Amino acid sequence: MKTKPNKRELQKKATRNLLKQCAKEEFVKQGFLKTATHSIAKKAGVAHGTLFLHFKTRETLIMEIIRDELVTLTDDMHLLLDRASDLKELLTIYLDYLEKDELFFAVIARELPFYPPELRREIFFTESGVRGYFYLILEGGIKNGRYKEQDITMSVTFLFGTISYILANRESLNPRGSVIKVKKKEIIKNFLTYITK
Amino acid sequence: MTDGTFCESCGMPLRSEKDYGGGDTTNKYCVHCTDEKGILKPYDQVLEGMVVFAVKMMGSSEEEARKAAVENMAKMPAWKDRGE
Repeated sequence: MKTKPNKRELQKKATRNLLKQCAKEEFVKQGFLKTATHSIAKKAGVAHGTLFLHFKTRETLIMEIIRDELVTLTDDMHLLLDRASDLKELLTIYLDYLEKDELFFAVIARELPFYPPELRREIFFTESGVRGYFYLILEGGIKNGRYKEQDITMSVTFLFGTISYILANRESLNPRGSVIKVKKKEIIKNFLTYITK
Repeated sequence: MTDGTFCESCGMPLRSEKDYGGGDTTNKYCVHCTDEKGILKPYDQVLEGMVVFAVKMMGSSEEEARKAAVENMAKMPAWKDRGE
């Protein structure tokens, strides 16, 4: 039997979530690199020291935000893989997930090469998990003759590279709104064309 | 007592029986980090597996993939008390 969380634990959790929410907003507004922890604390209405009680560094914060997002994504992808091996559906799930938080992912797409090496590697490592689902589906499709013989690593790199490019350059591609929303069908249709026999 | 949803060695989601080491849904570890009996593989073997996976997925250099895998494993419950 799980004991009911006491008031203090609930408050701690609420503060933590508030800090994450404020951090995300600041990252979106000015990018991760330019965001100082004290401005996040200020926005959340807590003391700077309080932020550090919850998050050791700025990097810890952004990684936790990314990981939170990832839980839902990998859940959906994992279930899909169990059900049916449909690349179109997998890609749709992934693009929908990016669209929901497009501004946040655009920041990462733009700044990733400049992040501290450890953060950059952690994001890369996390992304490798997501790419794994695409790899498996492509592999299966090649085996059953649906897709062309191809260098799967390269095909997935092309896909993720394109998406990253679109996110990073969203201002040029669709300044008025979601670039993923506008490009989604095209991305899916064209990628399938490139890889299908 | 496990976290319930992720492999404590590599962080892979554990959602169905086949994800778990040895097909045992009470196992803390995934099928990739364990042997056929569901016992956790040694650190070096798990590390190599992760490096190969990361290189295959990201096309990164082995050196970078190794650094990333070491850093990632250092945070995982299965390995963080290893004391580097």
